[in-house]
Amino acid sequence: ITISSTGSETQSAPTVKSMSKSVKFLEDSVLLEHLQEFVQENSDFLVVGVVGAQGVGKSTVLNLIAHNTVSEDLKEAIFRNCEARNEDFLSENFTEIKLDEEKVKREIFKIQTGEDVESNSNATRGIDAFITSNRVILLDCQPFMSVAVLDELVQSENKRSNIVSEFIPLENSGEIQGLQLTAFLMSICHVLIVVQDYFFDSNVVRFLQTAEMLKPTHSNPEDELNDHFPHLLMIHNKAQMDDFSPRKFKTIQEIYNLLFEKTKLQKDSNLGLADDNSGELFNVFLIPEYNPKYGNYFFLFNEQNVCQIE
Amino acid sequence: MKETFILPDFQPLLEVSGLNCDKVVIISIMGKSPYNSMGMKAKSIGRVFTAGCKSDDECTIEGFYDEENQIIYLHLHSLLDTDLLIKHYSSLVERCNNERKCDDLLVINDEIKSSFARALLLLFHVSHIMILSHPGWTFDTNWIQYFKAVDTLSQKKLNKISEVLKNVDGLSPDWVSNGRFCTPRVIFYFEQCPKGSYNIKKVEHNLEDRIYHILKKTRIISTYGSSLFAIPMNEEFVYISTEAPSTDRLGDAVRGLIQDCQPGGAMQVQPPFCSQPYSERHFLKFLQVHIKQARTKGFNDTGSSSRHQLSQPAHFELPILKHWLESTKAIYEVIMKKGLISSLCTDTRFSEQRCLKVLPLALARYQENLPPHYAHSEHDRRLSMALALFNAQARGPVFQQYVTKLKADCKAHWENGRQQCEAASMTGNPCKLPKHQSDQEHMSGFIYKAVCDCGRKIGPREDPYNAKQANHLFYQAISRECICSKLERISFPVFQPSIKEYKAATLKETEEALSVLSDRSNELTPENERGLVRQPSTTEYLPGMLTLSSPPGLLPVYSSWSLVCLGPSSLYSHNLGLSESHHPGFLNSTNYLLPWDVTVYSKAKMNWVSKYPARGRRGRPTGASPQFSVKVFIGVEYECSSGHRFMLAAPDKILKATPGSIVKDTGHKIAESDMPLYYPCMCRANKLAQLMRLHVVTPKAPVHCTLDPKVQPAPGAPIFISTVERPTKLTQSAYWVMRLPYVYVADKEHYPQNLGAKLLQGVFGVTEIE
Repeated sequence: ITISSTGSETQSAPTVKSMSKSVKFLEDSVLLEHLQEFVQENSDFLVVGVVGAQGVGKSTVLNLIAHNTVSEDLKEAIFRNCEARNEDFLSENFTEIKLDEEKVKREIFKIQTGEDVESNSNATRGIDAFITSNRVILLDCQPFMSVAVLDELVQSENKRSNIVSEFIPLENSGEIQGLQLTAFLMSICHVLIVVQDYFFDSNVVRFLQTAEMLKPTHSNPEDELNDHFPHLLMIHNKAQMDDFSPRKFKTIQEIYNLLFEKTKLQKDSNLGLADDNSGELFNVFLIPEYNPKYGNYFFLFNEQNVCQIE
Repeated sequence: MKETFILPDFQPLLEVSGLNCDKVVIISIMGKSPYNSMGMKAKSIGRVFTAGCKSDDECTIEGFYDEENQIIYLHLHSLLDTDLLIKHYSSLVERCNNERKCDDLLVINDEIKSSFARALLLLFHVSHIMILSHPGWTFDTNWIQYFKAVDTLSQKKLNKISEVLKNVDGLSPDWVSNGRFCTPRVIFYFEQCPKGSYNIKKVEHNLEDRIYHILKKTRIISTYGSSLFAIPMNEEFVYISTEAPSTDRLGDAVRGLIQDCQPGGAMQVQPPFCSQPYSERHFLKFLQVHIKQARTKGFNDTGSSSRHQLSQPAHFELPILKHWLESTKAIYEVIMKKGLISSLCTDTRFSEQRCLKVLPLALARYQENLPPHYAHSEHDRRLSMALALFNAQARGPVFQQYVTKLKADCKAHWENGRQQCEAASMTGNPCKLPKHQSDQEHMSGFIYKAVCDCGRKIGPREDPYNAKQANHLFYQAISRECICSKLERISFPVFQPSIKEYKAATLKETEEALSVLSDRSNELTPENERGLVRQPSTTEYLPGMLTLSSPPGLLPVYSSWSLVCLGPSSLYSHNLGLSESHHPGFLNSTNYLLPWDVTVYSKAKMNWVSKYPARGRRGRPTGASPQFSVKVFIGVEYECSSGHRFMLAAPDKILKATPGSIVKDTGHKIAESDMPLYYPCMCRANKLAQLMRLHVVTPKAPVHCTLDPKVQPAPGAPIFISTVERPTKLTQSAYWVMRLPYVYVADKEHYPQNLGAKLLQGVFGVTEIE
């Protein structure tokens, strides 16, 4: 997987353009070339994709990862971010301050605005991409099993026959599209992050394995099968304090190991929270329910660790 | 009553006083739940049920009768509840392994889905209001597939259900014909609310629109006819819980503690006002609207569209508790059976179909350009090609089963008359013929060049498949085209049958063999009279070749060795070397014998030969014994399968005459060392030439030159000899050539080329004529 090959034409500009906002990478099943100008002749990119159901915090997680170098600019951004969240939290209790527009703009990946939440639609459509200064390509995918995505497909017959297939029953078109995108990400990513907001939906686990089953193989029949399987990282957003207890975390790892017994995805590559003495390893990472009132910032640093391991 | 009951055991309910008159509303709760909540769903009303599961079943429907309000609550605890899935996962794996020979998650998922769908179907037949609980705040489109499957299943089962309901007393005809007392309403309940300051009502309403839209588009609900369930037209049917999740007990406790420890913590006053005051939002309140409607006018959600005039409103009734109990029990028996619902097994069906489609392609790849018969290695190569294709294109949980099938099919195809015989020849080449009967000769197709007994003729040698062919028949055949057959030869004793039905001796690898060895060692002593006593058997022959450990009294049917006299010693000229006409195929300047000077002690009355190196010490008197010296020309000749021949001058050196035919080496090294049986030929890398001939030109002196070849074809292997009466004496003043066996086979064991194989020293000897 070398995304870099797409960028080899740009020879004139030696100055590296840095990105401040994600660009569309894939929309309506069409790969866009917005990334080209940011990809120089470098080759050693790390590609990280994220999938998950609607509203579980995929973009939020990527935003956290994207901020892994601390520049003055970003410090400020992160700080503001937190402030903005603070306001959110307060607004729950005190006033009806609308979500800070400024904050949403500052985020690299679009997160759901209040409007999105209220209309129950998803912020990310297709796949968004962002390249960090240390050559991590982050891919933010639209939600799977989402009512909003399905509704959109239902509404536009054209889109459905283009993206999925005319012959697929309506109720399955959303799932098919989700599987397509997930299988695509499995083929092009080094790390695939799956975000859930509770432990756990068996259908998400099933969905991933179906996507793995459908993942295209790149091989000519004469050669040995040279199949690529990304690292799988399960992230549990909004984890509760109980989930962090060693006993519980061990259970989580054991269950995932059972459920993913047959997968070829790299599931125990030390990406998770676990250290060696917590049972069978599995790439599980927990992010606590964000609550600025109690100063739960520690997960930011843990996110950095994830990147360092990579 | 306080007790809960578990379907279909209604024992606690039978004691209810209003059993025969209470008109009940049935509310069922189902959905997914996170691990932490122990299967509790829709907590605000689900609290009547205790957390955790009470029965060991994969699917439990727990019930509670609220006698005061005459409401029955049913709570489905299924494999979609994480705690139950975790509990039953290993038994599911076991079951799938036993029943379907596969324990892939996608296979197990079929079970999970099917068992849930059956319970769902049951609830659709015995409830008024169904609460579908979601752990998050978004609608999971997975439900659509469940609804579709259950809808189909429900239509299939309708007749059966109606039939059993007929047997229940007191049900209305509409109830019986519809299979249920109403078209239930589904309420969508979401456990979490999105963070931030949102207008929850707006979120709910938008969600309602989306859900309604999709359900309608997918024809799960319709405005005419009967559908699986209904969505109320003018009531709210989506509820997002704004209660803080109470599942994180540890977190709550810790947070409380931290809060209390802060300055003024214990006194902290919560903000008294909220954008969404909790007091106004409560699920029970929300639900009450629906319950009230059920109590009063009933639901008529399907016919409410003004555009469609419905012939008759949907059936709705409030059943009497007793009737409900009996009908539910009956329907339970019909529906709650084990078994898969194929419309839900999409992943496994896909896998099955995909594999079925690719299997013939892979088989065709195996059969592409198939030769009429082929070897195991070719089979393996083709199989791996077919497997690569199958790997690339086949998918899913049944993959392994079909890989096994593909392997079996390919193997069957190969074994169905396409197998090559592949029996290994004496030189290790497989037989190229199709698999054949044992009486048909093998053929590897290899043809070597080989030299005859005397060394004059080079001819083609077919790759031999047995020792007789290799060591005897070939030489017999080639001798007819050569002068070999006419030459004087010393024949080695072979088996002489005295009866017609002679057979191979059966050899036992026991103490007998050991005693044979010790017996032989006696024989090595000079006093060898015992040999006379032993008569070779005339009824049984030695199956293999003669070795030192062969049992006494047995002789081979043919001799693997030959010893011919080319003629007078004058045939060899040390100046010219061996002539090309008599000994074709020799590599340049290797065609010489080596002079070997031997001192013979004449007076000593011993059979033993003493050999001394004569270098520079000729004529030196040793004791009283008179002595004289003789010169013998000897040579050890190697031959490769391309017909190249050469002599060695030492165990590790090819004989090489300098220009002008001057041979500097003498025969001492080859006479007094173990010689390798195989030596690399110069013609090609890795090609080994084999020691095939011993040349001796005997002097014109009153001595016997003797030959006593002992070949050990591998370290630890038996030692092969030409004859039991050793050593063999040669005539004077003659040119003798001993041809060694081409292959070495002892009893049953065949010794292939081995670099440790050697001709043991002491082959050449000289004794005085007595």
